[in-house]
Amino acid sequence: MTRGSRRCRSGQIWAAACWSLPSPAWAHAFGERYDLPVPLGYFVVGAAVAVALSFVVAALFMRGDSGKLRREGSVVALGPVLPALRIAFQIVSVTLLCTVVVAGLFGTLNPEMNLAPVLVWIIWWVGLSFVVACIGNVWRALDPWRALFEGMDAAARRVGLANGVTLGFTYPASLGAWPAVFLLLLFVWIEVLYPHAVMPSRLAAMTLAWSAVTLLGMVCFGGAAWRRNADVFSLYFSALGRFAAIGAGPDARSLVLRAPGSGLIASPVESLAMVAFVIAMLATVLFDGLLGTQALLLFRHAAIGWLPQLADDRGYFLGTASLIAVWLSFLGAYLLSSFATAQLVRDRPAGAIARLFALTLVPIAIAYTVAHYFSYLVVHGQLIIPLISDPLGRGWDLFGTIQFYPDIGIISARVTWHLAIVSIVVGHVISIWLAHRLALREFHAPRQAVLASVPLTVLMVIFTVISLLVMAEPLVQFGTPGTPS
Amino acid sequence: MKNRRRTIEPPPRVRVLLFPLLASVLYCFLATAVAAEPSVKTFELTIPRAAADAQTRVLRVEKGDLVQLRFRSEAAGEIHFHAYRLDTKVAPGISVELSFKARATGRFRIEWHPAGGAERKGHHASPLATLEVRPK
Repeated sequence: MTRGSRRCRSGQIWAAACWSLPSPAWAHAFGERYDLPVPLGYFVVGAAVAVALSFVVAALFMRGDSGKLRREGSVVALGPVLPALRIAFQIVSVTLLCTVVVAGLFGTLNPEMNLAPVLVWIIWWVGLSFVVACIGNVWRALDPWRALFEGMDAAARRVGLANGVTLGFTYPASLGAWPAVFLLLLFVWIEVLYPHAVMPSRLAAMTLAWSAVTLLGMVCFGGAAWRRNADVFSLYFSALGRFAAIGAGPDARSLVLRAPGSGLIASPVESLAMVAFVIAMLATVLFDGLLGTQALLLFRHAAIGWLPQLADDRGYFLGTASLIAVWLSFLGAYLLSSFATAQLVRDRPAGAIARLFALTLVPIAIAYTVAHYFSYLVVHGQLIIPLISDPLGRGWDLFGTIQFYPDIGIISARVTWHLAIVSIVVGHVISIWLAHRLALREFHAPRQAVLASVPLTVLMVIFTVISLLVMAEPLVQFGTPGTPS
Repeated sequence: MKNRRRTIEPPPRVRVLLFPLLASVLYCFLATAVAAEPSVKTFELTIPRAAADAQTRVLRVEKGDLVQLRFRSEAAGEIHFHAYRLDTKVAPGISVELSFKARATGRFRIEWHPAGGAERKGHHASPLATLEVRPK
């Protein structure tokens, strides 16, 4: 056979053909991103529109006619529907948590054939972020660890323990929300830099470890204190959920309908640690994209040239250093802009300004997440369809969907480009808008409010241009083109 | 009566918007009509890569093109093109061809796995080539 062309028609044949491969060779196939870089023209138009609209928003507020704040949302009472839904959600999420652990420990080693990595990294981490930002913070109801803890607690109280399962230690106030900041950076380190994060067995081990830590934390300090300070996922989804139009109501049986984004300026974040957390959210969503850029590549080459010992073959050290450097420089830039605002306004310290405006950066983070991950979610998320029929990769067909194979052409590159640019520009405008509205509410005089938001507006333009650059950047990557004959 | 007639007429601002709308519809129609004919793109790939290839090989095609990849190898192994679910075995000294229609846009890695599975470090190795399918 001198010439051969073979097309495998079903996922199973394809899988069988590749089964003999050593497992590490598989890991990259899981995370392979198919996105084409956004062409330069889109980038230029996006950046120009973002800058121009920043001025338009500022001018609108300068006239002061948007200063009249609309009412803060309306409460919708839903009766017993919500508590029932919450219980259903908790049953589903605890089941899924157990499935992830079982699939990870006993399923196939191939990440694409195992439910655990797809469910955790694509459906939960990316997909749920979208749902929470666009609809509302469903994680409050879905959180399986909260459900487990509350279940155990209720059972203990029924048995007769007055304090349930909590030990009643006081959470150390000096730690604040810093554990959550550290855990968010660690989590993104695992997601982006740790190559074995997609290995089902490692993923199951990490899930078990986090379950132990978070349950122990809740037992020691109580559920609420743990979730407010150390539970990275609660804080992450709650910050994203403050953007959404649906919020938690005053009691367990009602919801609040509000203008999208208005939840972000309802109240300042509690501490500087939370400021660091919000900035870490922005830095970490951008980090995955930044990692592939020439700027970071040049930084790495420079660092290795300067100190060859820094180079390890997995790039752990430099990867970690650049993650922390990106976060710290974003944080530094934000604190600097808060300081500048404090100088301009002169009625409160820079720390208070930083806490006040931190959440207005969330729409930029959400916009970049949509731009960066939408096609990934739509293309790779399809893997869940065959996997629910065969979560362990044992050749089962529980729901008759095993023959399904993802259609990689489901979303065209042009649609992705438009979506990316539009979402980044819209997110930017919402951020600027929120910052101005907040400034107007806090500083009263329109002129002073606009002046006060100049440093933050400049910073937002910089963050937005970075987002756009990251989407477009690989365009200028070197590569020797093939020679079609 | 007069009032009703006035509301039916598009206000001048809408008329201004109509022109770019029509123009873009026309453009899309022309673009699809002109680009109906798929072209054939052939690439020769040698394994191991020649030194001249240096960093990465990017093969650029347009959506809808017929792509022919010809592999010539000095070693036995397999070519995997995961995204399009294509693979082929390769033996030394024999030319092997993969041909397919570039139906989905994107950047896709074409990977080389030498026989014997000794490539434990393959996890980090750069791909044999990258196929870039751009929209028309």
